[in-house]
Amino acid sequence: MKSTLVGPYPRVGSECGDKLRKELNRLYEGNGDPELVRSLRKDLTGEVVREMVAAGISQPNSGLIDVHDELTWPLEYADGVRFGGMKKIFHTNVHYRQALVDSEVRRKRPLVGDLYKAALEVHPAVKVEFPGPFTMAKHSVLGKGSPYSDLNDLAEAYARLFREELSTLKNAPLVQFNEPSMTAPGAKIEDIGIVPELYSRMLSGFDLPVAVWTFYGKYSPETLETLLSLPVDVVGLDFAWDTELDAQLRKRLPCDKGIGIGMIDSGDRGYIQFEDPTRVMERLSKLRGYVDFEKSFLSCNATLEHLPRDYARRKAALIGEIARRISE
Amino acid sequence: MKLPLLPTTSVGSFPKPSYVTGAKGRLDDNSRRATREFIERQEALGIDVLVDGEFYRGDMATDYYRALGFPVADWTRSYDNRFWRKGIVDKPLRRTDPIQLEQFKYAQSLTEKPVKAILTGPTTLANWGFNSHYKTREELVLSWADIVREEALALAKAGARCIQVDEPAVAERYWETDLFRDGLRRVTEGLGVYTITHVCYGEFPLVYPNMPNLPVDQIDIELSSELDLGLERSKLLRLMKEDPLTKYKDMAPGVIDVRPGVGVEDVETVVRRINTALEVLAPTDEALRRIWIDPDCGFRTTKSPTIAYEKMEVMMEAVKQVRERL
Repeated sequence: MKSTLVGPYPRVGSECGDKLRKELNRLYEGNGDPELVRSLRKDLTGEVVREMVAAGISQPNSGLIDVHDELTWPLEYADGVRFGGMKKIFHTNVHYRQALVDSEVRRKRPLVGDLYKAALEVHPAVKVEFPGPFTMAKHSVLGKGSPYSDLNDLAEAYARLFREELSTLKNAPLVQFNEPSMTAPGAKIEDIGIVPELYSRMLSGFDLPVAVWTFYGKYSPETLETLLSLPVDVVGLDFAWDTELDAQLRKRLPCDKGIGIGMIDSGDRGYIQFEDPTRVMERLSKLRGYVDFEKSFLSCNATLEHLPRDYARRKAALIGEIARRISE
Repeated sequence: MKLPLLPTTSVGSFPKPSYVTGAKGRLDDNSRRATREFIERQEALGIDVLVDGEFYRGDMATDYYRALGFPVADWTRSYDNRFWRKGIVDKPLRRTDPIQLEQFKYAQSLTEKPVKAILTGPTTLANWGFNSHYKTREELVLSWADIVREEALALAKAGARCIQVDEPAVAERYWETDLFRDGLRRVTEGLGVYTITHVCYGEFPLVYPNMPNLPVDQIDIELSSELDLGLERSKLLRLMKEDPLTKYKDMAPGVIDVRPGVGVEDVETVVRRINTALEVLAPTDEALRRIWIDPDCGFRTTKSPTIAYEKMEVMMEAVKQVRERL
């Protein structure tokens, strides 16, 4: 079993992270040095990837330490969008900027840049991670001049934006799209029915390993079926929120996909305790024979940014250790 | 409280002047000086219901954890480069000393005008920290409500005419509406003063249908970006138009954007926002008399005291123009 993390990694809590926080504050006040910020971001990316690797994470992400928020950041790289009011990300006290779409959405520059390259220099298996087009559309508003008929139409436009990006990522070890809007409280099965076709069109013609990750919710049989029908290699599921998912999966599986087993709690609901590795191992063992462990990942259910850096580091180590022990 | 049409106020916090450093919830000489200067500025602007500016505050949730003796974890991020430190409830919640009484008494002693006493609400306190003690959300939220209630009673006894309970977490767990209301009720029931709850940055359409039932006299809500979207594009404004909260209670729509990086609005923009708010919320004269005007949220995140003052000046000029028209 492989191990991975999801979403942005905590930035502060190290000398480099604290320097970056202070320099960004200076920059926003009109006194900072943009070059220094760039350099600190690069250093911090290297630092957090090394931290993940040291924790035993076999497929880290880049830490995403430059994103304003985890839901709408790719739209900074697109024309046709401006940012409106600030909203909470689902049930958390973490915020995103609502995207206001006024005209045709066009990619104006690459989404994946120097920081991903800096991460790859530390570890060759660093995955690329984006919010998914469905979730981004659900967190957008159509403006008066928008050419899109509804948010599903907008999701297609976002998927086209990602198609352009994917064409530049031919050697990526894994590309992950996070789609919490498919499962978070309030998600409706009638809404998510469009997602398999959306992904078919977005990924058509690409020979890339792709994962879709979901979190913050429980899974109806219909939702699970929709997720398992996606044309991707790995489907990430939130076992921290849905404690009955194991039994449901045992009924439904096996299937040919890897499963992202988000069993380690990221602290998004205020739990700060560390899991007992033996109990997690027991829970995982009951999935053996149903889930193809070779293709699958153990992970946190969502971003570890809900935790302070020292706790995140220990959670990552827990994930690394359990994945290693279950593989043995 | 005797107030004019469209009473003006602000939500609570104000950017700290450079001489205020290291605030962690307690008044010191510098935060007293900042409070005094801020009260004078608000009086000069003609604001009707004043706030103390919260210059003593480190963080609206963390300060409570500190005051009650709980450990505080290292930074976590709320957005971009903004962070806060979550406290950890690792034993039963118990209030031994007042948390904000001295701060309120000092601010109120500086003016004849009413000063809002501002407390952080039980749901927000529960959501914005960690819990390793209580087994259920009900226990956690209602235990926080008991703490806030004790504080509210002390403030009312000390002469507070208006108590605001900040609940920016209102829509975070929108499926816990009953618990949110029960927590708030435990704080406000029988206080005998004018009560407000301030809410911001949430998916309000999810909780709007339950807002009429909240046990407070006034709901103060961040609204400027919705007012900019207008009735046609804002789902929240459409909900408000269908069933205005002013049918049930007083309401303060936020008309000034306090986010960092957002420049000072011109007066016309704010007049337009107020007019849209009145179109939506004030279908009758009685409803009009239930509307207060204030910014979206506390000015703490605006960072610059100069910009915050300029924004308040613009708001007051816009209110003056609208009042003249009415």
